[in-house]
This record gives sequence, C-alpha cells and structure tokens, in this order.
Amino acid sequence: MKRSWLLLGPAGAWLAVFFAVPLGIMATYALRPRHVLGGVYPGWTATHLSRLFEPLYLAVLERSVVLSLIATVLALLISFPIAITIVRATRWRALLLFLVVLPFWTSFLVRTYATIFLLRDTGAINQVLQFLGIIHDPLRMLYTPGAVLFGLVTGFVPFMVLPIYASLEKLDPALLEAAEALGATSWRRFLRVTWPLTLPGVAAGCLLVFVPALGSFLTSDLLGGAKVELIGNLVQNQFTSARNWPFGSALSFLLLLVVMIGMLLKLKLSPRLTTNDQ
Amino acid sequence: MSGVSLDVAAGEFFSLLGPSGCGKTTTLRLIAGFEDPDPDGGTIRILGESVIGKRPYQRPIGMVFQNYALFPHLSVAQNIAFGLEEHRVAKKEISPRVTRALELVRLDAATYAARRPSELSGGQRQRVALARALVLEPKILLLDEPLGALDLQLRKEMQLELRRLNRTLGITFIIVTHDQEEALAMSDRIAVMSAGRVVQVGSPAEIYERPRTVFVARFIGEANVFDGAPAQLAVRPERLSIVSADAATGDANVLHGTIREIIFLGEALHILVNVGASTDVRVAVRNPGVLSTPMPWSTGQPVQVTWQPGDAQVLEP
Amino acid sequence: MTRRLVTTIAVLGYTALLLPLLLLVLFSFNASRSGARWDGFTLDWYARLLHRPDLTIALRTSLIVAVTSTVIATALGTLAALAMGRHRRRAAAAFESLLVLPIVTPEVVAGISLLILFSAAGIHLGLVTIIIAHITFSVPFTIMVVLARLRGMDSSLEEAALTLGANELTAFRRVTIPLLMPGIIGAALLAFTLSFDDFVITFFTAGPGTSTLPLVIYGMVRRTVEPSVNALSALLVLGTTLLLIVAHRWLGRHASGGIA
Repeated sequence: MKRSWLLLGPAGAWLAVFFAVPLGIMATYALRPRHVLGGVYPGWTATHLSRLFEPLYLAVLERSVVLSLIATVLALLISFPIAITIVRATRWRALLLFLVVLPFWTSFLVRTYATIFLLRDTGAINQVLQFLGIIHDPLRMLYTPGAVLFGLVTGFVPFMVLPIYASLEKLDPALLEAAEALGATSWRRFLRVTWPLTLPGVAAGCLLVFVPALGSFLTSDLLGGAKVELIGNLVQNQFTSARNWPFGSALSFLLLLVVMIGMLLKLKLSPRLTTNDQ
Repeated sequence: MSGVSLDVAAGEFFSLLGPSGCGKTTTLRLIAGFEDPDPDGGTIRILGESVIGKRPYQRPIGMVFQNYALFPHLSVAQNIAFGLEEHRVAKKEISPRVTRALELVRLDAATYAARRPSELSGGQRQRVALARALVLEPKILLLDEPLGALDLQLRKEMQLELRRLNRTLGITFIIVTHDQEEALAMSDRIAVMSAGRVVQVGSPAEIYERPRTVFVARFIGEANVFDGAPAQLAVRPERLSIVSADAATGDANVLHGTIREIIFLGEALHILVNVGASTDVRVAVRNPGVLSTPMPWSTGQPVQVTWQPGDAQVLEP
Repeated sequence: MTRRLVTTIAVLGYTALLLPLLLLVLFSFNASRSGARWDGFTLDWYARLLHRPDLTIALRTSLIVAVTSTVIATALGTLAALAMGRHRRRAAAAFESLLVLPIVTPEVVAGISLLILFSAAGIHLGLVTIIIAHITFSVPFTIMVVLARLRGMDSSLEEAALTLGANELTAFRRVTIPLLMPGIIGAALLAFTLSFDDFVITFFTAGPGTSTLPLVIYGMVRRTVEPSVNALSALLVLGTTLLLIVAHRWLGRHASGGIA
C-alpha cells in the first residue's frame, strides 16, 4: 500500500514517451533542413524560425489570435445566460443540461458540417429571411470569416457552459439572498457576488474555448472554404501539401507559445477561492 | 504527541476528552492501528498483548466512525454482514447474527435490513454503525465523536444507549469527544488531553471536583480561578455564595464587588460579579422560581462573594 | 428586463447549438439530391450506406480503435488516479499539474508531434499508431475523471473495512472498487467518445490504408455533395444521443459523481 504511488508509473511512462518525447523531437525538427518529401535532413538551420517573422505568417497568427479571442468573448456572452437558465430551471433542468451535453459529446466534425445547412445560400437562415421578405437575394454567409467565427463559437460553447454551470450550481443561494438583504439590485448582485464566485469556472471555460479555437483547422477548412487561413491550417498544410515539416514544427511551437501565454493569464485571472471550493 | 500513558480496564467506559487538535483522535487511531507510533515511541497493549506492527484487522477492536462510514453501496444487512463474512463466519449463521445485532441497537430488522444507508436518518445510521461493529463482539469498541452529528435530543438518547450497551455487553468502550457534558454523563473514567498530552485521568467526579490544572478546571464545567499563594485556586460557581454588601460574614474568603450581569439558565442562574479591574466572578444560584420568588439581586448592586476553604481546589502551575 | 435578455440569449444560443443537428437529421431524409429544398421523404441515403464496403471497414476500424484505446487508457488512468488520490507526495502533485499540458496542447500540435515521432522511429502508420495516439489523448481525461470520484470518496470507508476484518486487498476489492465504479465507467465512456469522434489527431497518425469513420466523413464532406454523408452523420448523432441517455440512466442510478 505504501508503494502504491508506483501505480503512477504506467500512465507517467506512457505520457513521457508519447507526449513529452514527441514534442522534444518536434523541437529539434524545427531546426533541421527540410526534406522535400516530408521529414528532415541531418544538420542545423535557423531559417524556419526566422521565416516565422515574415509579415505573411505574422498576419495569419494575428488573425488566429484575434478570431479566437472574439470567439471566446462571444462564447462567454452566450454561455452565461445559458448556464443561468439551466440553474434557474427546476422542472426542465435535466433536459436543458442534456441539450448542452449532447453537442458536447457529438463529433465536432459532424457538428461543423451540419452548420453548413444553416449558413449556406440555400440554408435555413437565408430561407427564413427570404420567406419573411427581409431580403431578396440570399446573403453570402458561408465561406466568410463570419462563418468561421460562428462555427468556432457554436463549436466550443458547450466547453464554456459546463464549467460555468458547475460553479453556478455550487454557489450557495443564501449568498445571493444575503446580498439582496444587504440592498443589492439583481445586476449589482451578479457583479459583486455571482461573477467573482464563478470566476474560476469562467476562466476554465475561456481556456477551454480559446485553446481549441486557436488550434482549429477543421472549422476554417469547412466553413471558411480555404479563404480564411488560420495558424492551424498553416500547420496542417506543412505536413500535407507543402511538405515542410521543419517549418510546420516551428509554427507548432509558436502556437504552443500562445497557448502557454493563455494558460498563464488564466492562472493569474483565476483567484484561489478556497472557502468556496470544497 | 508525547506523554500519553493510559491504562484502560476491561469493560470500562473510557473517554478521551479535549479540544480539537489535542491528539485524542490520534490516540484512538493509534489503538485502532491506522497510525503507528514512532519506532521508539512506546507501546500499545490490548489484553496484555502488544499490538505494535499489527494491522487494524489483526486487532480485537471494533470502531464507530465520526461520520459512521457505512458502505453506501451495501444495504444495512450487508453492511453488518461485511465483518462476519471477512471473519469467515458460516453462511447460515450470518443472517441470525445480523438480526440479533439490529435488535441489540433497537432497529427492526424487517423494516431496515434491506435499506441503503442513504435511506436512513442520522440516528438510524448511528445505530447501524454500532451494530456493524458490535456484531463481531470485539474486546474494545472505539468510538470517534460518535454523537457529533446528532441533534441534542437524539444525542442524549444515544448517550444512555451507549451506556446500556457497555454495561450489558461487557465490552470496553473508548470514546473520543470534545463535549465535556457528554464525557461526564457517560464515562467511568475520563482522560483530559491537551496539546498532545494527557493532563488528567480520573472519574467524572474527580475530574470535576479535583481538577489538577487551570486547563482542566476551565475545560470541564465553569471555574473561577484566583491567584493565591502559593498556587492558583479554582472554585466552582455553585460553591460560591452571594450575600448583600453590608451582611456580616464569618468566612475567611470574601470578595467585594458589584453585580454586572444576571444570566438566566433555567435550573440555575449565573450572577457575574465584578470584583475589581476587569475580573468577573461567576456565582451559580439555584433557580428558586424567579416569577413567584423574585431574587433579591439586581445589576449594579454591591455584593459580597464568599466560599468555604474546602471548596477551593489548589491547582498545579 | 434583465431576465428577459438572459432568456432571449439562452434561446438563441440553444438554437445555434442544436438547429444544425436537427437540420442535418432532417436533410438525411430529404429526397432532393442537392438538398436545396424539401423534395419529400426518403430512406434512400440510408440504404446507400449499406452498399459502401469502405464504410463498414471504417466503422470496424473505428470500433477496434475506440475499444482498444478505451480499455488501455481507462486502466492506465485508474491506476494513476489510485496512486494520486492516496498520496500527497510531491511527485503525485507535480504530475497532476503537468496533466494540464496534454489537455491544453492543440490537437494539431499533438497530432503532428506523434507523426514526427513515428516517422523518426520508423514506425509504419496504421491501426497501431492510431491506437497509440488515442490512448495518449485519453489518458489525462481518464485520470481526472477517476481522480475526481476518488477524491469525493470518504477514506474512512476503507478504514471501516479494515476494522471489520478485511485486509487491504479485500478492502480495495469490496469497498474501493465498487465505489469507484461509476468514475471508471464515466472515464471509459469519455475515452470511447473522444476516440470514436476524433478527427484531427487521427488525420495525422493514420496511414494511407487505414481510415476511421470521421476520416471517411471528412473525405465525403470535402469531395462530394452525396447526401448519404448526411445519413451517416445523422446516425452518428443518433448513436451519441442513445449512448448519452443510457449513460445518464446508469450513472443516475449508481450514485452521483458522473461526468459532464
């Protein structure tokens, strides 16, 4: 029993070999000369790293970060009302929760593909708007940055709703009643009690939206129609059509770097609420 | 922990009493075998036999946990049968013994045997936990704050119940509690612990009437502690008398002061008398029935507080 | 006023989340080939799926990968969680904070780093590499799910078993494992779904000859407007729904402490 921490061994070894080591090899690949058939040659070079700073690629990085940040904020704005609605509901609570959990578990690929039915020229939105006589010609929505944003937000909203719901559910209703008894209006109550106490859930949710949004390539692939290139697509290209593994590796580390910055921000933003954390 | 040396007699109802963090639970866990003493840290004997190095299941003990620790995935009957199965009791013997154990703790087997712990009230869980430990007929039953989660009424009822079980079964009970009233009401003997040490061991009367230290005097019941020469003195509130300021007293021990507060407690009243600086003396007076027999005391009134020499306890420093 | 705003946003959110799935299922029964308008009900697209041997093979591959990686990832995760739940050792605590790293690493990066590893080690891409990749991304999740369950468990339950005559092994078998079971099942469900649905990491670690269902769907979605892809996707959505309902029922019955 005293040696039971050795049980950590198998999982630890597995992650070391198949998570840490690959990242290590990838780091060296970023410094190797490129092999045109994929892979690398022996030797060292810094060309791939310096290429990262070319305006073309910096623009892709900027677009990716900005789009992911907007997606995160929009997801937050949608998720909080959804989470509040679930917590408030009594009779329909289980169903409302299920309706968020369902997309959470459904294939992301299928969900992204299904979004096309909503956004395409003959899609549901255009048909409804035309039927109502609001527009005459269909709006061009699919294959625009807006479509990519829509796909990112709806794609990752469940990741935001669930942690916020979890921290809202833990919130003692007596705290809200106390705030009300102390004279706080509903909006002030939210600002001074609900929000600070759910901040850990919000921070977790933001990270869970921002990180996959930043690294996504499926969304821009299917909904952006190769017109909206994000850093995820750029990385994917280096390992498929472009066959530039070292540059792809360098780009990957750039992506990891941004993710780490996001992680650190999350740690900073999420205060340790030990009293409410049991 | 150090300086914990206890002798518990067979069949005794023994309490480990002290504030939280005093080491009473650790002591219990040492007896149970969940913690080991340091290699040179002393020994534990049960029935004259050292149990050092023995696992809990090799010791003749039973235990009732603070939160009962009933297995949530098993029914009441399965919980009680658990230990019998582990002790390889014959299959056909198990069911009658489970029923008898339930009877012992006054739970109707027909009603409760099939229920899950989550379907029981706090008091019923407590009884099941007792039955589960007692069905194995241990030599010693260890109880860790067993009544802590119950409300006052139920707690009093269970105190009597534990006392009854201890008497009828002849099993040694060692109970951990921070509730001094509970310890006084149930125990044959009490060990008062503080900061990892045993401060005093004795019968409830000895602990109450002859506290050895200021800590014991203050922790058990109420006490007025006076600085005397050569040592401090403790006098229980009910040993003090209160008389009007101008009355002549033959007592050697007199303090003059004014009444600061009168506290109504039901069967008694406590009168706080300010005797200079910020020192209050607490005097207990039997309630004569204040509505029909009003007391002659009121706040702000100057009074004298007296006691007989034999009522003061000399405390160790 | 605030309340109405909250409800409105929630309704819009739910619509954006669920309407696409509903439309997908609806259009899988649409007789129209282009899918631009409703041409009547048909089961043709479902019938066509039966005549696609590649789908059957992909489904089999997906199931083999999902089942194998689930079993291994759940076993690894449960063992690690047991070690971490019991010990406040610094090593265990450090390991726990390191677990976040695989979870926040973008899938693209995890996928290509494995591709590089396999290519550097000269391992042929195929079924085995997919399974290895899936175990890798599932293990942190299985550890966390089992660990959450373990942490919520009262340690005095095992101590109680010890005072009742059970030794450590028996206490583990009769108390710890049964109480941990909902967590283990939850972890397995999560691992299975993660594996069965995964596209990105599989995309990089599958060889040219091996395809899972998501890879086939991706190929169909990109190349054609063949409506049978709607039918296939709808089946996946339906499968997920059923699995979830069963899981909820089961976890609901067997104590709380399930997963999302």
